[in-house]
This record gives sequence, structure tokens and C-alpha cells, in this order.
Amino acid sequence: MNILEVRDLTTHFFMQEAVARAVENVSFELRKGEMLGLAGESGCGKTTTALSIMKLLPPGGRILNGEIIVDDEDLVKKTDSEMNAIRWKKISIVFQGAMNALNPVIRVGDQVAEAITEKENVTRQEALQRARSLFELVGLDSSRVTDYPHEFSGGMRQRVMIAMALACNPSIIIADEPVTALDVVVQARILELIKELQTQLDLSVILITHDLSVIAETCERVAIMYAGRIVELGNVKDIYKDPWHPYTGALITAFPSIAGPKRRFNSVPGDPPDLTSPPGGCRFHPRCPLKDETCQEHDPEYRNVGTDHYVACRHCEKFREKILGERA
Amino acid sequence: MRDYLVKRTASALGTFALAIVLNFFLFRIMPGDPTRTVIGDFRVAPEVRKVLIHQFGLDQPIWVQFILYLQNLLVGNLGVSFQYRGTPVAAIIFGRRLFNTFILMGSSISVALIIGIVVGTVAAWKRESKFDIFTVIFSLVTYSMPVFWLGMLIILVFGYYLGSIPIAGTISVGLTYSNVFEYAADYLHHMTGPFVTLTLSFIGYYFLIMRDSILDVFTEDYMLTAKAKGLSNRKILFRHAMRNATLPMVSLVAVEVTYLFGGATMTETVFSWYGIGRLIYEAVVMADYPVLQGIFVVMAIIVISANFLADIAYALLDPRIRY
Amino acid sequence: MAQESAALEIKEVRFWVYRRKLGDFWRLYKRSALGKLGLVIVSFFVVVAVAAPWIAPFDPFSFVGDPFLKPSMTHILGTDQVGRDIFSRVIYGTRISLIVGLVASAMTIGLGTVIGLVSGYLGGWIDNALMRITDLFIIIPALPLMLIMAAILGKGIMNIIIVITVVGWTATARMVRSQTLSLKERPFTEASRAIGSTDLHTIARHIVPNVFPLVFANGMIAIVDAILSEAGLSFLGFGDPSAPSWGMVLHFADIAGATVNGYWWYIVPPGICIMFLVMGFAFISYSTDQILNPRLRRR
Repeated sequence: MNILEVRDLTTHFFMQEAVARAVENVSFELRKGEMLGLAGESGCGKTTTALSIMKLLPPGGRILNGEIIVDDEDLVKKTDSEMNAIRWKKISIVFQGAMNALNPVIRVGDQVAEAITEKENVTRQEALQRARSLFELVGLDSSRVTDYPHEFSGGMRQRVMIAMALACNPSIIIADEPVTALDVVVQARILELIKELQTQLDLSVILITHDLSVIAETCERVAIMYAGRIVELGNVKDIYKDPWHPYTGALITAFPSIAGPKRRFNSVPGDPPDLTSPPGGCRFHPRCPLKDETCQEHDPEYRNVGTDHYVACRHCEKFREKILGERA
Repeated sequence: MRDYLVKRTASALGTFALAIVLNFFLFRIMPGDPTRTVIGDFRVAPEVRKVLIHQFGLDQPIWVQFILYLQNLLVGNLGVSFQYRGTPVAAIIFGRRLFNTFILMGSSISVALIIGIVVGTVAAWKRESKFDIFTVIFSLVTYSMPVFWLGMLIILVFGYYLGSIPIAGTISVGLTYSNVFEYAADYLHHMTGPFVTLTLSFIGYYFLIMRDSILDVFTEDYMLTAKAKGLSNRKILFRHAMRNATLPMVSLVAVEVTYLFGGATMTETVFSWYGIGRLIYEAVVMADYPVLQGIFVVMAIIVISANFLADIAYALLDPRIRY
Repeated sequence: MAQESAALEIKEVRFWVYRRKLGDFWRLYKRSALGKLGLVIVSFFVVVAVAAPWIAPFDPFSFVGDPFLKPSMTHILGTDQVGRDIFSRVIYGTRISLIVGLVASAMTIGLGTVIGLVSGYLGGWIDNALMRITDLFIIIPALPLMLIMAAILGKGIMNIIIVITVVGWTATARMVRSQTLSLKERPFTEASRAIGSTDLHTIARHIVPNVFPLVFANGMIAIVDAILSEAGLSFLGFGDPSAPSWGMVLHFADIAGATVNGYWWYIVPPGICIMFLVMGFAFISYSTDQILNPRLRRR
């Protein structure tokens, strides 16, 4: 069953000189108990999608269209104060553990506890006690609730953020680049932790990252985004082995693999488009080897090409043929 | 923390030493008769002049004078005033004058700070609203007004036209009081003019700095985290934003004590408030150099101490510095 | 031949790059309402200062009427205690206040920039010593120090300018020093030294142009400080009666008892002029700062 549904979400940023069409007609669903990956280059709209779900868009950002359904309610229609009740209680978000995601002058335990006391009728002591057990849950020493953020290393700060995100027992967690700022060893540990917590607490997680290998390790399904749109959506195993969209294919081959034959290192020629004036029709067409005139004028069709597998490309069959041909 | 303290103390003492040296040489660069430094421009009998020259070693080489100067400083001998017929400078400064200036300066800076911080926070939150625009313009206007002119206006409006405040002095002349409350009431009544002037002249600056500071804080990541947690706007503003934004203000207050002396000097002169500021003015007009030298030392002590205390306070408040 | 034309080309390119940067700056600046308002205000006062002999109805030093006349059609702001026309004095006062403000701030910035450059570029004990002295002057209250120096040096416009400069160079010095320190580490500085340029050449050619924009923004604040300091010192009686600035006019108003006698026409106009001139420069400074300070643009 779907615990979160996003339908036709369109979010634009209204700046002084232009409008950035950051997210357009994005649709996907998050199933209960699964980990869904949201992948793409920087600036493709993944974070904007996450912020749209939480209604945390910066000034200038506006959801123009679409529905976000959680518990049979449309979040898009909710006011800010109505969202306050939902934030952290139903959905919480783990940001990149940048130095300043935690308030540097407040003890971490208090920062975790304040989320609890805000939503539930408990004393500060009880909330702190909960914070301590949350710390243990994420692998931190519970005595460290009295420390300040700068006393933690990057990986440990991320654990604090995770503990904080779990404070009010949400059912949905959005993790926005949770391990990008960490070194590889710590990355692995944190991903392990997230996976463990997911099964232990029956969480549903949206994992946002540009790193396909991270998604490969943790997610069951993945949505690939490009220039504000979803270009492919499906099971991780299917997509990684048999990508149907030219962009996905390019992304996957951009990663050298230790196993397998040595091959040419492919990168996608060109740059991601300027979202204030994106290309007409399919946004990928300027960089796509398979494009034709229809691609330039009309939006790509969103097609079902397998169980739970969707692709936004007119020429996906041609692309499949090409790949299979190369492999043979 | 200990290292920090030690470094700061050494720095403060070093600056103070420099100040003392500057003080000495500042008054020796005057053209003309070297006895002016102790006697000022007053006429004295030649025998008295000879005695003073001997007492202050004015016929000795400069480094001997410097040693004498330091010796005198150590025992608190700041010289003798000539305006006031031989009263020791120390007695003039460390008396009612200092008290009056402290009360005036202390209350103005406290009120200006509190109002500036709170209103600055609210204005930053309601950025571009009518409230924000009004308060910003108000602050820019009061900031651009010369302090003495603001004082004159207040005297004009409230003293002359409305008659609600006295136009000069610390207390009414020739009045007797039946109890201490009457005295305090009269004192405060007289303080209203200078207090309002001084407070208004500073409030604009604190407001603008606080507003700036909060706007800076708004761009920090932890503000987004706080909002994501579903905290109410009020909680985010006062518990997260303000705490971080007030930190730079602490260092600012120390610097402000410096400006406060200038403002107080002007205000006390305009309102004839019996304080150190007015003493500076009087001493300058009467060329009473011993008093000026003494005030310089006292000012240096006060300002350097204020900076030192602010450094300590900042270290205590910002957990990142504590270790 | 080829070398000469190449050098000329480089000069030309430099000029156009500079022009374009200036153009960019101006384009951004034109967007800010406060900035434009500031320019208008300052220009207004400059025009008044230049056109004073034609605008002022009377000579500011002559006794043209009875003393203490109230405002009338002939004397828009009445007369002062010796019968001089106040309106004319205020108009001519624009000149003094502007000139002293600009000269004093120019000297302040000049001195501050030199000290900052030397301190930042040479480093070592020179830097330490200069910074200690700077700290001292920052800490000592400005007005009392100015008064003390004025007491020692005596009255007069030149002395006021000297006093303002000696007390005010610290802010610029600090800022220029930190800019110089960061510029010192940049590659082009190393490159310049590597090809054997003298220190002076390096400073002049590479560091100064990069320090200039910040100094300009800071300069506006220096002008504000200079105007207010001059007004204050003149008010307290240290100005030059033969060159009456607005502060001096207020000084004469004060000793004539204008406040206690309610002569608002004597008190309000000079103060309003000071206030608006200061606001004009403050607006310009604010707008310039918004553009040049990259951190502020983020907001």
C-alpha cells in the first residue's frame, strides 16, 4: 500500500529576474516499509521535491500544481500551521550533516528533546530521557546528549540528525544526501544504520542522492530525475541491469565497475539545462543521441515497460536495441 | 579557556600600557611653555611656578618626567586641578561626577540594547512589512542626527514648549527634600532629557545591527531544521535565531562603551548634567590639562575593562570558544 | 613594434574590463531605491554649495538687520544675535560642512589605507606594532580624544581636520589590512613577485585595485563620521568663526540661548541639513555595501 503519493507536482522558484521551473509534473508513490531512491545530478530537482513534500520551500518557491497525499490528506492544500502538526510527527527529514544543520549554541540533547516536547505532552526530563535512548539506538553514547554539535565528527553528527528525525516516531523519513559529506567508510556505516532502523522501526524512506551506488546498496525502487522531471521509475535491480532511458543508461555507465571488462569511461556530453529557460519538449533532448523533431516539441510519453517500470521516452525501445546490440 | 583568559588579560594590560604612554606624550607635544601641562593656561606667581616645576620635574629630562609620571599614577596621584583651585584631580573625577555619568550611561545603554534587540528581531522577521520599513527609517533618521542637536530639540519641545522636563542640571537648585524618594524623583526628572537623548541616539544603531544579524542567521541551515521540526515561528525566532544573533552584539557592546563616552560628553554638555562628560568639556575650555590627563587614564581603564569583560562574556556564551 | 602594440592592447583591454565592471556596478546600483535617493540628496547639497553666492539672499557675515528677528519674507529664517541672516548662513554653511567632511574623510581613508597596506603586506613586527597602535586608537573614545587634542592644538578648521583624521583612520586600516592579507595569498601576487616586481609595484598594480571597492564603501561611512564629528566639534566651539559650518551656526544658536528661548527657526534648519546630508551618504554606503559584499547578496 502507498503511504505517500505525489501526483503531478509542479514547483517553480520565482526570482527577481526569472522563474526557475525546478520541478514539473513529478509523480511517484512511496510504499509502506520500502526505501525509495530519488536520484539525479545536482540541480535536477530532488531536494526541491523533498522540500515541497514538507512544504519547506524558501521564499520565492511555490507549488503551482499537484497533490501530495499522506493518510488520505492532500498536503499541498494545508496551511503552514496545519503542516506544523504533521512535520516531524508523520514525516521527518534528515539533511546533509553540514556543520550548521544543528544549532551550534544549543546542546544536541535539547535540540532532540524540543521536537518531542513540541508535539507531545511530556516534561523536559522525559523528553531528554527519550533523547538518550534514541542516541543509543543510532549508536551514540547516551551521555553525549549534553554536548554541543561542534564536539561531534561528521559521521556522528549525522547520527544525531537521524536520532532527532526519529524523535516523534514518524512513519516516513526523507533522507536528503545523508552520506554525501562523509568519507567512504563512515558512509557505509551510516547506510547500514539507516537500513537497520528502517527494518527495525518499519519506516518508509525516500533516499535522495546523486550517488547511484548508494541507492544500489539500500533501495528497492528508484526514480531517476533529470531537469525537474522523472525520466525513469522502477525496481533498482531492473533499472541498473536494463536501463530503458538514455539518461539512465548514461548515468549507469558513468560509473566504472571493478568487476566486468574494462570499457570506455562514458560521460554524458553537454550540461544540464538552465531551468529558467528549459528546452522545449523532452528536457533531455539536446544531449540525447536518439532525438528527433517530436522530441523537441512534445513532452515525452510516460510509458509502462515492465512490472512497476516506467520510462519517459519516446524512443526507449530503440535505446534498448542499441544497448542489447552493444552487449552482444 | 584558561589560555584564552591569559591571552586576553595580557592584551588588555598591553593596551593599557600603551594608553598610559600615549597619555604622557600627548600632553608633552604642546607648543610653548612646558609648564602648561601641569599649570594649564592659568596665571600663577613665579614662586609657585618654580615649586611646581620642581615637583613635577619639568626641568628634568623627559624620561625622568616619565618615571615620575608613572610613580604618581601608581599611587593614584593624578595631579592637581587648576580650575578648582588645587583640588586633586582624583577627587574631582571619582566623586559625584562618575556616579552621575554611570547612572546616565548605564541606563541608556541598557534600554537602547534591549529595545534594539527585541525590535530588531521582530523587524527582521517581518521583513519588508510596514513595521520593518518604519523602524528602519526611524533608525536611519536618529542615527543621522547629531547627538547635540537631538538634545537641543528635546529641550526645545519638552522643556520650552511643553515644560515637562527641566532644561539643565542634575537636580533643582536650592530645593530641600524631605526624604530620599523626593530627591530621587527630582534627580530622575532631571535625567529624563539626557536619558532620552542618549538612548535615542544609540537605539538606531543597535536596531540595525541586530536586524542585520538576524537576517544573517536566517540563511543558516539550522533555521531550516528548526522549521522542519514543526516548531512554531515564535519558538524558532526567539529560541534559535535570537540566541545566535545576539552573540555578535555582545562584542559590539564593548565597542559601544567607547562611543558612549562621546555621546555622553555631548549630552551632558547640552543638558548641563554634572558628570564626567561635561567635565571633559569644561576642562578643555579652561585648558585644565591635569584634569584632562586624569580623565584620559580613567577613560582608558573603563573602556579597556569593558572590552575585556565583553570578551569573557562572549567566551562564556559561545560554546564553540569555551575549549 | 609588436611589443609596443601588445602593451597598448593590454592597456586597452584593462580599461574596458574596468569600464565593464564599473558598468555592472552601476547597473546593479541603479536598482536600489535607497541608493538613488542617497545620490539625489548628496547632489542637491553639492549644487547648493556651489551655487551659494547666487542662492543666498544676503552675505553670511554682514549685519543686515536687527538681531533676533523672527522669520519673515525678507529673512526666511530670521536673524541671529548680531543681525546676520540665518538662511544665508545655513546656505553657505553647506560649503564648509561638505568640504570639511570630504577633505577630512579623504585624509582619514588615505592614512588608513596606507597603514593597512603596509601592515598587511609587510607583516611581522611592523604589523604587530601597527595593530597594537590601531587597537589603542579604536578603544580610546573618539570625541573625548578629539576634544583633548583640540584643546592642545587650538581652534580652527585645519585642526579639526587633523583631529578627525588622527582619530578616524583605524576602521579603514583594519579593513584594508585584512583585505591585503587575503590578497597576499592569491596567485597573482606571487606571480608578480616571481617576475621580479618591486614590492611597491606589486602593491600598486595588484593589491590596490582590488582593495579599492571596499575602501570606497567604507569611505562613505568615513564621510558620515567626519561630517558628524566636525559638527560636534564646531558646536562645542572649536570651529572657525570665519568659516561657519552648520555645527558652528548651532554653536552660535546655543550661546545665544536659542533653545531656552524657543527660537526653533535658528535650531531646526541647520540640524536638518546635517541630518539629511548624513542620510544621503549613509544610503549610498548601504547600497554600495549590498552590491560589493557577496555575503549580503545571498539574502
